[in-house]
Amino acid sequence: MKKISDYLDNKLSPDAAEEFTKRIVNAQVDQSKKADWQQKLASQYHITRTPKKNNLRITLFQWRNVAAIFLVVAMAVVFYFNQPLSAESQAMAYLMEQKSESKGDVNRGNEEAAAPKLYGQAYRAYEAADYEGARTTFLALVAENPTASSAHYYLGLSQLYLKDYSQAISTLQKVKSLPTTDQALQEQANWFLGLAYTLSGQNELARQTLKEIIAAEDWRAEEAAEILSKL
Amino acid sequence: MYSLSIQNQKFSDDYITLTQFEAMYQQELETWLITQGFCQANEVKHVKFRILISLKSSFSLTECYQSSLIWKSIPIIAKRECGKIKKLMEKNFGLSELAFQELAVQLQGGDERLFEQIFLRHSKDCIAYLMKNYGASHEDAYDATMETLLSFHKGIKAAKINYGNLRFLFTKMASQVYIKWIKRENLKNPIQEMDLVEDPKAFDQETLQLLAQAWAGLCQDCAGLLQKFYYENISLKEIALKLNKSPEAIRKQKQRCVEKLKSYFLRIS
Repeated sequence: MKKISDYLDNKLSPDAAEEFTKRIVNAQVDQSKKADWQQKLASQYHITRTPKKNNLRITLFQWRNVAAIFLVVAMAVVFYFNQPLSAESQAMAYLMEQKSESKGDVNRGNEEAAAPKLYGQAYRAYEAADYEGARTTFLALVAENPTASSAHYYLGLSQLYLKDYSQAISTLQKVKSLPTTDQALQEQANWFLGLAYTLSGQNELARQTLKEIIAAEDWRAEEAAEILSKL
Repeated sequence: MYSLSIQNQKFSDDYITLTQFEAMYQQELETWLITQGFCQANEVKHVKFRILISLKSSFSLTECYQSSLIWKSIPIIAKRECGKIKKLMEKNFGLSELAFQELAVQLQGGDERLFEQIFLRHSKDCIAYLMKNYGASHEDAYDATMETLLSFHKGIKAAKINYGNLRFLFTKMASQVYIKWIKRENLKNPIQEMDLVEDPKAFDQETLQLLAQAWAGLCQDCAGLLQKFYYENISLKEIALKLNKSPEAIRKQKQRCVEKLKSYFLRIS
């Protein structure tokens, strides 16, 4: 910059000044030529100094990364699905399976005559998977009729689906203790009790209940054995 | 097979020397080369010249040959020579030697269209080459290519760059420009305090910007005159002759233009 200031202040000799003029003119013409070519490169050949990033263009290296990620994910998925389910997960799977199977297929028992309107409301709520509504209505029904086994049973299931395991256990135990001629209902209540114990982590009680089911070859004995093997 | 007029009986019985053949059948040969699709009209003289040289290496200049014999050798020689020319053109951005000479003449006369058409097209390949072989960033490869374009422009104009393998030369020059920058960067980084020897003729970016602004203030006549004199190295006498002015008037005009440039530069800096 010193030489420029000397040049501008006329401190250079005539020859040096002339040489410097030549330098600055050359630099300027070079510069404008480059600018002109840059413009032509951009407009005619689409080449710019800063290339536009083409997100769609994936290099071989990127493809390799994508393939590696895909492989890892695929292996993780295969590993996850081949991994044996825990007792708790297995119990939850059976409960969900039951939930989908039992929709619109409620065994109403023979208590309905006592309060047909309320029972109808409770069953409709249960069938519609409105377990909150079902729980409230069945609670009202069992309060009215403490020996109504069907009402207790569905109350217990509603509590189970609402993951209120302690209440579900208590209600399903009640079903087992109630005098009833409906053997199937008792067996079903015992199965769900076994699930409730498993899901709430009460493994010893779960084992005990599941063993009962297996020994008596009750409803869902095979499934009980499977959960038991994982407990 | 080539439908050469060699088959014409009028040639077949003649006994001539190669020198006679050259004198007699030059026009015939040119027409044949074009009609057989060996070359374009503007290239024909060059191709013919190469064929004649090749003939001279195969035949004695003084001995007599049946003219049909000479003619029969021409298609083979033409094919071989055209192949060579084609290969050479590939190495020279598709330019024949003659076309390159025309380009140089055009550049010297201030017509840059052909230069731009040929060399700007090659920029993409050159940028890609620098990125692939030297790991250059796109920006660095682009700048090195620009610098090389400028060097080529000046080199061809000054007849310092000759026909041969222009493609290789261009890429090599761009590589050297890039390597030079990299070396300079590597030197700069570890020892910041070191007083590096920069290219004494290079101006920094800030100065160049100021210069561009000052230059923009000049009138067209002044800018043109300074460019002609300082950049294109045209003498004041020649400029005066073209502008139909006296050399003295042009010298004074040039001096005024330089002063203007300096004053604009001083004003903005």
